Amino acid sequence: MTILEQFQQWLLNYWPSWAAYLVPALIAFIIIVIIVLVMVLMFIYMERRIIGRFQIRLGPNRAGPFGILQPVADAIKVLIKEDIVPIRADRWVHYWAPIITFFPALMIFAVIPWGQGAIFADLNIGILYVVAISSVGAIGIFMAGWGSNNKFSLVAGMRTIAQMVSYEIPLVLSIGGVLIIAGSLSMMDIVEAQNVPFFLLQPLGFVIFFIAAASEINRSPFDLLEAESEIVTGYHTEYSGMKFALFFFAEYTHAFALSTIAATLFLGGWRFALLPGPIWFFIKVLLVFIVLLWMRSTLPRVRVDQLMGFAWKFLFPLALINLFITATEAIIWPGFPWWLLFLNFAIAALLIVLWSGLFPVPGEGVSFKRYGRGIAKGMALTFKHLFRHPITVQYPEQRLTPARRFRGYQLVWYEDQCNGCRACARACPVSIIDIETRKGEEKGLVVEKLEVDFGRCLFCGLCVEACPVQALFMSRDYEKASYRREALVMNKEQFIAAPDKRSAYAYPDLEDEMPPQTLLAPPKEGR
Amino acid sequence: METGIVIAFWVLAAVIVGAALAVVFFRNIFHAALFLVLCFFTIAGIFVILSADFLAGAQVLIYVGAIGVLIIFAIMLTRETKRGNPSGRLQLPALIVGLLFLITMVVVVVSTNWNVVAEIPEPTISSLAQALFSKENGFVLAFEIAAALLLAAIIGAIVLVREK
Repeated sequence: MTILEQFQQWLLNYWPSWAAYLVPALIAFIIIVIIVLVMVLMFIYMERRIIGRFQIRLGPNRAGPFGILQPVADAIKVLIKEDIVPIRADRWVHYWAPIITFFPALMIFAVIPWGQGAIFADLNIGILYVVAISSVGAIGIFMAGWGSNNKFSLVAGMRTIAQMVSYEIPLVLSIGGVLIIAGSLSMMDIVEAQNVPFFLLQPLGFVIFFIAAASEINRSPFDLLEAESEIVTGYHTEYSGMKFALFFFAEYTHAFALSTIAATLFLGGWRFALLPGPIWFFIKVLLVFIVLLWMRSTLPRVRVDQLMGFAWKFLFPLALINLFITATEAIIWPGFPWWLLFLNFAIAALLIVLWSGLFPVPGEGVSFKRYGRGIAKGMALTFKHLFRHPITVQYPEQRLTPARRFRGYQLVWYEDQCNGCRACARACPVSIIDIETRKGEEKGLVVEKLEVDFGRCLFCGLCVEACPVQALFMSRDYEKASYRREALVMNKEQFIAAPDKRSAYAYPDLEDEMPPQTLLAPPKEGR
Repeated sequence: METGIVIAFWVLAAVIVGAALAVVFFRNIFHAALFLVLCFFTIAGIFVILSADFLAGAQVLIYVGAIGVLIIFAIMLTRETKRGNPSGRLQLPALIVGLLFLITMVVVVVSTNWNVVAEIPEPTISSLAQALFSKENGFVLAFEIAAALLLAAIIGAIVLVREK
C-alpha cells in the first residue's frame, strides 16, 4: 500500500469519500509537478555547467551564485519573446504540438517510485504504462514538423518517426529481461525484487536499454531530429517564445523521466544502504544523467543510415538474444542467484565483441578496434577534461595580454618625433591618413592636422613600416568599440591624449619592454 | 466513486464519437489522422474505467504508438496531401454499408449475454497470462500461429520492397 493510499484511507474517517480520494491525489499531483519542474531546471543548469567542464570551459556562471539563476533567466527571456506562427502553417497542429509533446513526458512520473511507498499510482501494468505513454510524444514532435510548413521541420518529423519506431523495439525487449527476473510489471515490485541491482544481472540489457532510451529522448549522439548542422534544429525551427520553451522543457522532462526509469529498472531504485531511499534515488538519477552528458560531450552525431543500421542490425538482435538467454536462465536457475552476474557479464562482453565483428570497416578489418576502443578512448579523454582547470577567461575581470607584435586597434603617434614627411599617408593602401603640415620656426615641418579614419583601417601596418623617424607605432589595444561612426575618426588632439600602448610591430628591439603574451595552454616542457 | 465512473464514461464516450465523426468528415487528411489517434486514446480511457488496465496499456502502445504513427507516416509519404481528401462517387453505398455495420454491432452488443465478473482479479496481468498460456485451456497454439503469421507478413513486406 502506498503512502498516498494510506493517507486516503485515514482521511476517509473524517471526510466524505469523494473528497478523501480527490484532495490527497491532487496534492500528490502538485508535489510531483513541482519536483519535476525543479529537477528539470536543475538538469538544464547541470547540463550547461557539466558539459562546460567536459569541454574545459566554465559554463554559465554569472547569474546568481555559480550561475544557478541561469535557467530562471533563460525562462524569463523565452517567456517574454514574441510568439511567431508562420503564415501558411497549420495553425491548430502548430498550436497543439508542444502540448502533446510535453504532457506524455509529465505523465510518466505517475508510476515512478521515489522511495518506499512514495509513488503516485502503483499500477500493476507500471512499466507497460511508461512504454505506452512515452510512445505518444513522437506524435507531438511529428505534428510540430508537419504543422510548421517548413521542409527542415518535416524532415525532422520523418526522422523522429523512423527513429522512434526503430528504437522502441530494442528498448521494450531489453526491459523484457528485467520483467522476467522481477516477475512483475509494477515499478514497486521491480524495485523490491532488486536484492542484486539488475544492471549486474542484466549487463547487456542495461547497455541496450541505455542506448535505445538515449535515442528515444533524442539525446546526442542520436539527436538527428534537431541536427543543427543539417536541418537547423528541425522540428522546432518555426517555434519561438513560450511554445519553444515548452519543447525545450519537454526535452529535459523526457531526459529526467528516462533517468528515473533507468534508475528504477536497473540501478535498484531507492534501495541502498544507510541514507534514506529518496536521496539514493536522486543520486542514481543524477548519475544516469551525468553519463548521458558525458556521452553527449564525447560522441559525434551519427548519420541517419548508421542510426537505423545500429538499431536494426546491432541492438535488435542482441536484445532478442538477451531476452532468450534471460528466459533460459529463468528456467534453469529460477531464483537468479547473485553469481549469475559473472556469467552474464561474460556473455555480454562476448556477444558485443562477436557481433561487432559483423560490421567490418573497409581496410581495417574488425570494427571493434575502431568503434569499441575508439569510443572508450574518447570517453576517457573527456572524463580527464572534467578535472582540468578550465581555460575560460572571465573577460572584464581577467584579460589576456596580446602578442608583443600585435597589430591592435588605432595607432600610437609621437608628435615630437614626427618630421611631417607624410610617408605614412602615402603608404596607406586605403588612404585614410590625412596630414596637413606647415613650415615651422625650429623644425622643418610641423603637423597641423592629423586625422585617421579607423572605421576603414585595415591594420596592415604599412604606415608604421614606412615611418622613417620612429614616430608611428601600432597599438596593443583591442577592446575599443563605439556606437557612433564618427567616434572612430581620431584627430591630432586625441592622438596626443591617447595612452601609450605601443606594440613592437616592425620594431623588434622594443619587445623586451613588453609583458609576455598570455598562453592559454602553456607548451609542455622539452617541446 | 460510482457517479465518478459514470461521468467519466459519458465524457469519454462523447469525445470518442466526436473524434470518430471528425475522422470521417475532415477534409484535411492529416487532421483526420490526428483525430483517429485521439479516438484510440480515449478508447484506452474506457478500458481504464472498466479496470482492464493491461488492455488500456496495450491499446495506447499498439494503436496510438504504432498504428497511429504508421498512418501518419503513410500520409507523409503520400503525394499531394495538400489537396485534402476529396470525396468519391460511392457516398451512398458507403453510407449503406456503414449503417448496416453499425446496426450489426448494436444488435450484437445488445443481444450478447455479457459475462460480468463480480470481483476484478488482482493483478490482472497474471490472470490474463494464465487464460492465454495455461496448459489446460489456453490459446498457446493460436498465439504461436499468429506470431508465425506476423513473421511471414514481415518477411513478405521485405521481399516486396527489396531492391533487385
